[in-house]
Amino acid sequence: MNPDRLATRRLSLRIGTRQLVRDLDLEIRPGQCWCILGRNGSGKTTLLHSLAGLRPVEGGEVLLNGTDIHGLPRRQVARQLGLLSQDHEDVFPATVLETALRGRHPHLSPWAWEGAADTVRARAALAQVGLTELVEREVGTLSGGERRRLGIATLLTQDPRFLLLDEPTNHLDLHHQIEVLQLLAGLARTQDKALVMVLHDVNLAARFCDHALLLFEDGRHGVGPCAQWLTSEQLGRLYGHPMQWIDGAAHPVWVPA
Amino acid sequence: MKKALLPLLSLLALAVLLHGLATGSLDLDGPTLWAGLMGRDALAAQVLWELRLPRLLAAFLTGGLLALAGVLMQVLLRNPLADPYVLGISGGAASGALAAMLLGLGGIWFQGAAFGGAFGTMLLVFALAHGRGTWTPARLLLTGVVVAAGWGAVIGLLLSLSPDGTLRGMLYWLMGDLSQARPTAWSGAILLLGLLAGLALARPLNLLAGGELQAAALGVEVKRLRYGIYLLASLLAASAVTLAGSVGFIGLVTPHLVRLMGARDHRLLIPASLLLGGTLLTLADTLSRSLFAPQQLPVGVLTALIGVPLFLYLLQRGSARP
Repeated sequence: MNPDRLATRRLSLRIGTRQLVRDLDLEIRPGQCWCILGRNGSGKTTLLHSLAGLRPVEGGEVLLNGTDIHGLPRRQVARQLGLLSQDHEDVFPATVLETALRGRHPHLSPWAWEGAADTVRARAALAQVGLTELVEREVGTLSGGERRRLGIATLLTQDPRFLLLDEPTNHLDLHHQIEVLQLLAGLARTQDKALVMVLHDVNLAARFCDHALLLFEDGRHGVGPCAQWLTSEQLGRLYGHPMQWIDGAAHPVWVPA
Repeated sequence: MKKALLPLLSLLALAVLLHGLATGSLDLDGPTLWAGLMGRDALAAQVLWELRLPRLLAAFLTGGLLALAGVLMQVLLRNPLADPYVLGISGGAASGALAAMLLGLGGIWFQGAAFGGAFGTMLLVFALAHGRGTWTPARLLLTGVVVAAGWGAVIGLLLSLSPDGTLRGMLYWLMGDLSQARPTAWSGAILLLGLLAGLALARPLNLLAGGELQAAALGVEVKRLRYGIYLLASLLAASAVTLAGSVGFIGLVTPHLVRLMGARDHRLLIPASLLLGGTLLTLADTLSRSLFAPQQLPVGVLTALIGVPLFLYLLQRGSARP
């Protein structure tokens, strides 16, 4: 009846008096990998949180499989949609495995404990991001990059259809940036997941994503295939700085002129 | 350690209760204790059933209530330094209780004044912190701390207005004192309610401990959960201070002690904290009435005297682990 879709209809977002997004129509389908690009403060995170139904919207609506996301119980949303937030708040002690297992929460009935199958899933997710050796470690002892990969493992353990990621490559070294994005983009292809990632690196976005959402300074936006929007002209307009395209390597790159 | 924690703590609780029954200004040996409990020794029976057992139960109840309230407040405020009193609950209760003492009220009026002060403070802090919409842990904490400071001034005022005769009772109440405490059915019921509700909310609490945004993204109705634990923690703390005055330290330190013993999952942390909080306060109370018998000390003095070295020891040992 309702095919898997994460969509917005005439979505408007405002912070204070500043209009971040106006009348955004968006449709995200399984198998797609989206990037959200824009300058600091252009509303990327606000948009991502709005897509996850975690903040009220100033106009229009966010639809998860055809239903207004604010009308759905949070647990039901969390079974289909997960969020990797920009930062991690660890005030109380927990181990790496305990933290990853939190991803199972929306799938477990209220009084149930995580079973062997959940632990297997969490360990597999930790292995995918290269944290197998650290499963019993305290979260507080992890490095920034390791903590980031643990956040991604928690999201993989949650196993939603729609994965929203706020700067997933934060704190990651070059090797892990590529590895994590390969893993995530692979999910869209092989498991029919839909990904929406806030990214700052245009070249990573061009290499791993197929759709782009550009948030311009003036509240306008651009939505569509990467081939259409990731051009020197549009990127120059987006960042307010001329961009130069360099062809030749295995992956063409943009550099600020 | 984790699997054995609850049975071990239960055994410890039982041992401390038995020790408390046998100890006091009249020490009872094993056979006399048994005879007293069975009613075959009239004097022992009177001491046990009318004095010691009610007081021990009151101590255990109070300790359990405080420890549970402490666990909930720490998650609610996402602050390991939070305790049941941080939002002004004990200040409100103390102001009510001291005013009642000053007016010479006793019994149900006295308890009503303490509970009313505590619960009124809860509503006041809630209304002030809530404002128009946003209710962040930082705002709630600041509001509570300021309201608590206000109550501190009221307490100082009441103390300075009081005649010398009532001052000692007031000071004992402020430090926490179980000598007049009797267990009541409603405080037992509130403890049971707290335990069951806490267990039902345990997994969402684990998630809330990892941040509100992340908890919401993982399917927790954060707003509803916060209201629920605020109400529950306040109710638990208000019941505890109504029973025994502002007993310090138990609510702050018990959750950390249990975490240092390896229980961080709230499904284990909540029942284990209840048991350990009850046990610690029972032990402290037994010492408070036996160390300088027949002179009785306010139990709040002993909770810190036992708790501080125990906590520091576990902290040292915990930090030495890889």
